[in-house]
This record gives sequence, structure tokens and C-alpha cells, in this order.
Amino acid sequence: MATGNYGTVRPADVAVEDIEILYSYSPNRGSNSAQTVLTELDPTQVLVPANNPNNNKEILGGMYTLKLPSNEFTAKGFYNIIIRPKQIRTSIVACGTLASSPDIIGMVINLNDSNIDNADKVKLENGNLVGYRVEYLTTNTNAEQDKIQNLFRVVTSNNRVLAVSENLSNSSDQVLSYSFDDSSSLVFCTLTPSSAPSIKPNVLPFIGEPGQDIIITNTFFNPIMLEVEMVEYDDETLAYALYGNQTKSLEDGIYTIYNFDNEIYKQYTLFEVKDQFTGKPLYEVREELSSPDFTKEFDDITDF
Amino acid sequence: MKVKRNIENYKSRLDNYTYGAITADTVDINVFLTQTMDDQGIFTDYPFKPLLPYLTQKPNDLGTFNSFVYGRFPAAPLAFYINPPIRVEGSSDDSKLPDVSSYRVDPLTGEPIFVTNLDMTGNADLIFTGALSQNSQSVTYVLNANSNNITTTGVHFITFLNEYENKEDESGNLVRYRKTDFYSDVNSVTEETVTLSALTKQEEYFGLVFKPEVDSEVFIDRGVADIFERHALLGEIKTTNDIDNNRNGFLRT
Repeated sequence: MATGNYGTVRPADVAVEDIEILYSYSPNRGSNSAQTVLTELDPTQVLVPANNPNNNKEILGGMYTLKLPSNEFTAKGFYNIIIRPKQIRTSIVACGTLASSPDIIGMVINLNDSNIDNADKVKLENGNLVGYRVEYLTTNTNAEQDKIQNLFRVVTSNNRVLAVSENLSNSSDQVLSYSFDDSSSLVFCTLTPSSAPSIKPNVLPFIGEPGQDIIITNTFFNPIMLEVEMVEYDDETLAYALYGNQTKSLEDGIYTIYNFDNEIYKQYTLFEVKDQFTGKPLYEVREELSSPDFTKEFDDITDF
Repeated sequence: MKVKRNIENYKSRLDNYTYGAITADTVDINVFLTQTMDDQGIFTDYPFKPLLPYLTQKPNDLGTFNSFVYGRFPAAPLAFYINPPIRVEGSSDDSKLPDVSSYRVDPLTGEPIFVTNLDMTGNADLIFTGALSQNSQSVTYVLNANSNNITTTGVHFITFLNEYENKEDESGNLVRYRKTDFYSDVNSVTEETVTLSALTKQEEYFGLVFKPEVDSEVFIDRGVADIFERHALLGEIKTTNDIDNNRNGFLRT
């Protein structure tokens, strides 16, 4: 049966300005702190997109290098890094219909809202919000959870509109609708899915309430969580001990292990503990030196 | 996604004061970001089937009626879903200002004269469109208000006569206009403007963009249209099998 299916997975070419990065740290997997504490990172400082090798002005897509600052990310333990689409927070001014198309309902937001960063306002211009996800905060101030969980809508169109009052034919009341006007600061957004399951069609699909706080998020890429485990030893450092060069100074008992660049990796002092009266050897000790003895550099010792 | 990094890789092993300290600026990790897209499927309007009789009062045992929390109550009438109006505010250009100016023009400045409370609607008894107040700094006016209740109906504008703002039109040309704010206390959704219905998703078409189409051609014999048709039809028959197969049995021998 010839039916079109447009679903696909593509390498994301999202701008770093449209990304949020959060991370948490735990010294070990068994840490049982009450709640994970998340810290924000500035993506423009730590995320670098790869460029097309044939055109350094063209983003390759998909591949990004996370450059984590070493002063924050070199403690032994586990860092959970969340990379997710950036959020815009504002509130719904009204829910209404278009004056020319009364069957098209949408939510109205205000570009002048001080909660919206100036850098994000261009994203609310005509058509730019299509595909963005809208999530809702509860209007119930007594609720334990501010966010309405598991509920979202997707913007299918957005355009600047001016409020227009219309007189109703069957009463003296008026209704406010909206007409397209690019000079206005109000933005009319249509949303989907505004649908109910066919087995229960009486469930009304809501798109929001006037005054309700919302979170608008881009859908330019799938959020990911990265677990970075910082360790002190790996196969390479164990190989230093097994296969790397070593020296043992017979004069002062300093035992040195070198890395594969012949730099001092570990240094120990070797000595015996003897009985003070009989002189009988009791222990052989290997103790790590806190500050290395650089006279034991491998190249210096073997340079003869 | 799990990544392991050895702190040793970021330490200095040089024979100077940096030995053992972290000297790398960053810990670099490559990540691959993807975007998954899928279709929303096909939607169909279903008629709303209310549970009768309707409730007469909003349920209050769970707090204030909030359709977001409750979803749709099977027996709730449309009025339950209509929220009280809240003020809608925004800013715009001064393009609506000429709608409320009188037909007179100041002979000295050439600027239009605004007459307070002069209805510029024209031929409508119930609607008021005109200036409400003015001074040297601004003009306050209303469009399409109910003449019996101008204060809370219509869209109210205030144009600041001495404050200018710039914008670019679609062609990139600079457009200058006087700063204008507007507000309205009229509700966007009332019982007269919306109905209860349900847009439903058809699960059997999940992930499909187009509804499957059945292409069936019904052959109808409308008689001889061409004097050579019979010859042409018989000319297609080369074997006895053709007699059975040709034109789905239209030819009979």
C-alpha cells in the first residue's frame, strides 16, 4: 500500500545558542544524597560544533565537541551531563480564535514579556516557532508540583496578531479575536495535537489557559544524558607498571616507574624496618613519595 | 551514553613546579546529536456525545474547576470551560489612529483633529469607534466598543504623539511610527463563539501521512463510440486465450 511515511533520524545541526547543558557530580555510584544538585553550563563556552572538512563555514551536523573546563571536571567520580534544547519561559496572554477563521483556535503570547530574553525574541517571530514544544505549569498555587507532567503540545504556526473586538449577532456581548498584524507584539500560535483518542472522543484537547505560565522548547535535537566517569587508573597507566621503564636507586632506595614518554609517573622509597636491638629485618616497605626526586629522570640516568 | 576519562591524561609530568597538577584547560568529549522526526498521523472530527443531563454546578469538591486538571467532564456543559476574561495587552504601530480622527484638519499644522467622544463608526448604533481623550502627548481611543459600555468593551489604544519607533518592512525599508499600546478586557472565548467537539486520532493510521486510497475502476459499456472499435477490439485477439483474457471478459464469443 502506497502510503507516505516521513519519519527519519537526521544529524542535528542545532546552534549552540539553542542548547542548554546541566550537570551533576557524584563521587561514586553508591552516593545516596537526597536529591541530585544540577549546575548549569554555558553551551556557548563549552560546546563546539564540528565543521565540514571541505568547507569550514558549514556545520557538519551531528558531531559536537564538549569542552568541559578542567577546573570543574577533574575530580574522581561520576559527572552526569544533560544536553537538552533551550527553554523559553513566558505566559499565555489569551486563548482565542482568528477573526477571519473562527474555527482556528490558538494561544496568544506577548513578545514584550520581560521573562523572554532579547536573544530569544527572534525565535517568536512569524513562523519561527513551528515545531517548538509547549509545556504547561499549573495554575493551582497549592499544587506540590508546578509543572503539569506528561502534557505537551507542538506549535504548528505562529504569527503576530492584533486584538480585534467583535460584536455577536445573537447578544450584546463582545468577543475578542485576533487578526494578523506584523506591527503588534502579540503572537498567535496554533497547536497540535489538539486531539482525543478515538475510543474516548469526549476528552477535550486543551491548549492552555489565559495567564498560565508555559515553557516553550525547541525540538531541534533529541536530549541526551552523558555519564562521564573520571578515573585515576586505566589500562594505559596499569601498563606503565607492567611494561614501562623502571629504575631502582641502590644508593637511596628510590624506586621510579616511568610513563611511555619516560616521564616520572610514580616514585617510591624502598626500605626495611629492622628490630632496633637485634637488627633482624622485620618488614620490607614501599612508600610513595609525595614530591618526586627529579634527579631520577630516566633520560638522565641512562645518558652515559 | 557512558564515557570514561583518566585524570592522568590531564596532569603534568614535567620536572618542574607543575608536576602532578592538572594543566589541561578542558576535558574534551565528542557527542553526536540527532533529531528524530515522526508523523502525527491522521485526525478526524468525531461528534461530541455529552452525558445527559448536564451538571448544573461546577464540581467544587476538588477545588476550583480546572479543565486542565479534570480533562473533559462527561456531563459538563460548555460554560464550565469558559474562563473569566483577563486583560490582553500589547503594543503596535499607529496605523489605527486615522480610524478615529475627525474629517477636519488643523489648517496650521495639517495634522488631523481628534474630537473626543465623536463616534467615527459611521452607520452603527451599537458600536463606538473614536477618541476618548487627548492631550499634547497622546491620544487615547477605542475601536469597535459597545456604545453602552465603552470602558470594558472594544480594543483600547493609546498613541504617544512624540515617541517614535522604527522597524523594517519585508523589503528591508525603514518604517517609522508612533509608539502605540493597546489593551482589551473582552474575553477571547465565549459560549457564543465555541462549541464542544472532539478532534480524534485514528490509531490505525498512526505514522501514516495519507489515508490509504482504494483505486477501483469500474468498466461501463457505453456502447459503440467509434465505427472502427469492433475491428480494433477483434484485432487484439491473436489466440484463443486472448478471447478469455481480453478486456476482462468484455469480449464474448
